Amino acid sequence: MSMVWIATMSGGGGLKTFTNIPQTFTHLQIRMNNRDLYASTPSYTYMRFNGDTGDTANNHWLRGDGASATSEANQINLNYVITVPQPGNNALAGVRNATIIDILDYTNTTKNKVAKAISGYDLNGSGFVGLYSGQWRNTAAITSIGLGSAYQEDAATFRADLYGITSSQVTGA
Amino acid sequence: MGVYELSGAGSVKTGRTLYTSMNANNQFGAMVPIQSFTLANSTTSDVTFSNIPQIYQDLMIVGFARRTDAAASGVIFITPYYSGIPASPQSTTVLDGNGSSVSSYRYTSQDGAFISSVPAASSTAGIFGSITWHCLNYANTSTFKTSIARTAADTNGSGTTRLAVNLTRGTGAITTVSCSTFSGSAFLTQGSTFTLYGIRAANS
Repeated sequence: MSMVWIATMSGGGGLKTFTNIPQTFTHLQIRMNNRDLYASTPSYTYMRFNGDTGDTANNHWLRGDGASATSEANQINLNYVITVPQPGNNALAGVRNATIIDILDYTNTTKNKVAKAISGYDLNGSGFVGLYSGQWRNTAAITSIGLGSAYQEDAATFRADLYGITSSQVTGA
Repeated sequence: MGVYELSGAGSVKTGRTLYTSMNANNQFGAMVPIQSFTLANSTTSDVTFSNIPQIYQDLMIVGFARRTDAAASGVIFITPYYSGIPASPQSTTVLDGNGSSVSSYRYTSQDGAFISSVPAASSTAGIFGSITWHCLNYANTSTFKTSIARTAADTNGSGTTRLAVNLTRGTGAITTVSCSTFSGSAFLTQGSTFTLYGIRAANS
């Protein structure tokens, strides 16, 4: 298996979308390193598939805050597949989160789609690190992925890189 | 990788033609190996990746390691830094599961990143810990650096699975990453391996 860069999205504000995702890979990975202009920490980045704003997703997570570990499960009928915390504008300057999201078998048209993520940030005295997963109750192939601040205030430095995982031979890997 | 057409009957001469299209749709791998260490003995407490090229988007380390000290497990500090970095710049938030409970704790203002846990000498021989570490946007010169790692080891009755995030409070580009026991008496076990990859955000 090899990993191939597909596209980068950037820019502030709210939801941004990877569109026309090639259907030639086996899995997808998204890598993000961001913070929010929203004046509260944590803020959140949320993700949608195929522009679906219906209540068709559910998710849960296992998370540590440096003092205790918590798990929230089976949040149902959501209009976003996954949500991960990020520093807001009142957090220690210069800090961004690290998030890696995996979406397996995204072109399959017989399976509901599941995303899993590791994500966290540390502020030298506070922060979160956790495992996140979400289900999109839809068997459609994923052709677009929306990402953005839940408060519509991503910093202009927002960046997300989309990669395809392929079993084909690639150069320089 | 490419294919060269050779000319000259009876001898090999300088290749004249390079065929690059040996891959589907001319795709270029995003995960590029930079350097690898495999320890031939158990006498060193750290391996260091130095002079890291500044041409990638992210860094990734894949490790399989064990410590030699008389304990069930111990930390492998995977610490990013650069020349001139401020003192004690590392802080780590940890999420651990040990088979009976889950916990979270934090280290602040440290010299090393407490980001992974592997078996040590008191654990069953031959069991190493699996480590995957990522540092995103490592070459950026206006942000602090956040790295995140998953480590796991099971010893058939004990073990730890860990997810940890580390902050390096410095805006310099990361040029060096150390994988260390941070101890003069605890070494990395023979056979421990660490491989550094660059993750590209380009298709060329």
